[in-house]
Amino acid sequence: MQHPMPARSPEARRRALDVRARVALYAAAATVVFVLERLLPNPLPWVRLGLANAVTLVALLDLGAGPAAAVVVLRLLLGSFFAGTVFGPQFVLSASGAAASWGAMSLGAAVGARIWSPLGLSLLGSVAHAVTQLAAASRLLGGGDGLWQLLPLFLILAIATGVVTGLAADMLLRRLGAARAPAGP
Amino acid sequence: MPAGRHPQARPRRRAPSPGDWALLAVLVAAVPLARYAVPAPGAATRIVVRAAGAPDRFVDPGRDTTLAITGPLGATDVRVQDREVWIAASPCRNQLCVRMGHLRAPGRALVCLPNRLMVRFAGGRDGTRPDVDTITR
Repeated sequence: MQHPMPARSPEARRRALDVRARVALYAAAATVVFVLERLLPNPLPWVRLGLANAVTLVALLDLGAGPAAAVVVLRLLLGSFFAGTVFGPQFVLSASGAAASWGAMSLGAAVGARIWSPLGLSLLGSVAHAVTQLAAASRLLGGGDGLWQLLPLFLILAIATGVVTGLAADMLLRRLGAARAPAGP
Repeated sequence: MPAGRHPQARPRRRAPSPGDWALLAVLVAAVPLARYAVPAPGAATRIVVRAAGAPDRFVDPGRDTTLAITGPLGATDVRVQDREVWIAASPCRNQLCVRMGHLRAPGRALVCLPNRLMVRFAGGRDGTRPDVDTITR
């Protein structure tokens, strides 16, 4: 005799739909930020401010690691499609950096939620992003230590971009929290 | 639970927290240490041109040279003049490698990922071959 699956409560269904809707919104916002950032003048090739990672961090702290991963994947695919770099070497760099950033921020949020604010988590993510991109680029170019000589420069840039995106994520989270607060006494 | 706050949302500290400052201090301190984590480039005795899938080419920076390096997208034009090297033209879409400008000393590299090319200065201590080949077009 088969036992039917317990039906989800209306609250659980509403919550699941709410998560999916927010993932879609965050992915759309991250994609727009990613595409617009590429249009900005960039004196340093390869270096991006990574403001899209601020959206990933907001999604992580708002929805959790799983939905944030979905935001990252969607942003990578959509952003690469609009940039015309789908599955090219730049996509490999973007994907490896984004995965490392998501992993570092998720781990940081899991073990250090009482230690770090979004700023600290963003620093973890940006450093992981930079080191992983350097490793991936070195691998694409046949290995060797030529690119690793750029490590100090990449670390400096990662710290700077991590601070900016962390502060941006913190501001966004505060605005979101204020927007969702119950109105009135 | 406050209205609108998702059950999976995590409590968080306000920025900047003491932990943020500590992490920032550690990362800033790591920057000079990172210089010792990689082999020092040494004096700029040669230019190394690496195209993925091909043996490294070595160029004397003291000799003005033009190289055509063939990659998956086509030929990349690498110029050496007055002990500087730069990518003059590339078949890649975004031309980031061209915008990287001129290299004059070790510590940086010109990279074209779509065309799988890297150009850098190197010295005698980086394990490359001691002899120098010059390729002209």
